[in-house]
Amino acid sequence: MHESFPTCRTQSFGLMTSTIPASLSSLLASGGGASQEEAWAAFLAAHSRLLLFVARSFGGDHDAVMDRYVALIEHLSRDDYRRLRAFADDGRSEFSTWLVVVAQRICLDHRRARYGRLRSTDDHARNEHATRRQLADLVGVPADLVPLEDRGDLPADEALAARETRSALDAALATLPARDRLLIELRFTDDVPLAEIAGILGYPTRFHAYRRLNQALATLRSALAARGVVSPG
Amino acid sequence: MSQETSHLSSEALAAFLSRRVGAPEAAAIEAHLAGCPSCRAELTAAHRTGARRERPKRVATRMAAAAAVLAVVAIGLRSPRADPTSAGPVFRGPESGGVVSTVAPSAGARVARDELRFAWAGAGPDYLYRVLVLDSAGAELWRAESSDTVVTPGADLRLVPEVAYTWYVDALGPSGDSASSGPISFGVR
Repeated sequence: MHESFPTCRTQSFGLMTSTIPASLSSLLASGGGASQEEAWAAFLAAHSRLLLFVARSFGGDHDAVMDRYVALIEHLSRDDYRRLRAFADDGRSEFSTWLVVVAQRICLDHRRARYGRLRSTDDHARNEHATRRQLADLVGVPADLVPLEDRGDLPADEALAARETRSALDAALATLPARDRLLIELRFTDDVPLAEIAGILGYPTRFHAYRRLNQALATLRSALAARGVVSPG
Repeated sequence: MSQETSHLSSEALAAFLSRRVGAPEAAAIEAHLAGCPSCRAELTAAHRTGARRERPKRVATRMAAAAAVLAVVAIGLRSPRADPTSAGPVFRGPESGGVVSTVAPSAGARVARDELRFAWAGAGPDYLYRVLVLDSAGAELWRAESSDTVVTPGADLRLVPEVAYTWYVDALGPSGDSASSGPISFGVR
């Protein structure tokens, strides 16, 4: 279902690489035995607050949090610290940012292993539908013509019109630059506030994200108009 | 782990968040994220976790900076108003492209802190307005919501003289339309 994403570890764009924290370089340089145990203890002393922070962010009582924390340190130490060595090999990001991403992924895998994948709820589907309809409104397409799924209760001609409009919207979205599509998906599919989107995508302020979003919506309207989907306004 | 092959690697996600990827890789990552709800959810969660961890540090830094000038700015200020940041978000959608004309402070103005007022031309009847003040890094320092077209910031807005700040005002109309003034730089003396 997901597209394959090529690994880019061997590519270099001449960007600044991050400094490996002393606690990590000492751990990876330690030859095993007592010195490695000491280095591991020092690493945990330096980073356990961050790991606990991530473990807590998944909710649950004290036992659940500690369970996740144990899973985190077990995973990070597995196979001679294979996961931590991956950072040292890559080394592009801030270590704390990388550790947050890795710890989140480990916690997610831990939860899936215990409880299975969480199925999307009706509420989630309703929210997604609502935000997608908001996008339809903003680009001037009647919202009823943009269902996320085919509806069996529509008359044949309305169902056809809905499918065609949805197809036109998807095609128009596909013409946007990837960054603009990401901006729109974050805003209208995931319902992420613009202030957060600005932080995620590196816009200086939410105002810049507003402006970019408006430009992308204007482009969408033009693309839809070119496909014969005209704003009712 | 299949996650590592079908989704973005942790390294790619972290590098993207750290802005340590070149343009070609950034475009590839953005294209993947645009089509992958799972990776987007990880990206958003990691950003939120990072922001929550950073918040106390920023507050402490701001408090230290504010403390250095407290003796200057505390004199003559009004008593603090009700906390405007406690209100939930009002402006959810993007603006319709309209413009709010600002009156004061004008772009580049340096005003006395105790004379600082944010004023703009009304966008129409029954509009609500939200004023935001940002620091030079774009971080939000203060906000207020009002149906009036003048807002006087209380003591909760702590500004350092000779430092550049930005303010702007968003307007939300009764029918859901909205407009913004655009960023205006200003300072206090």
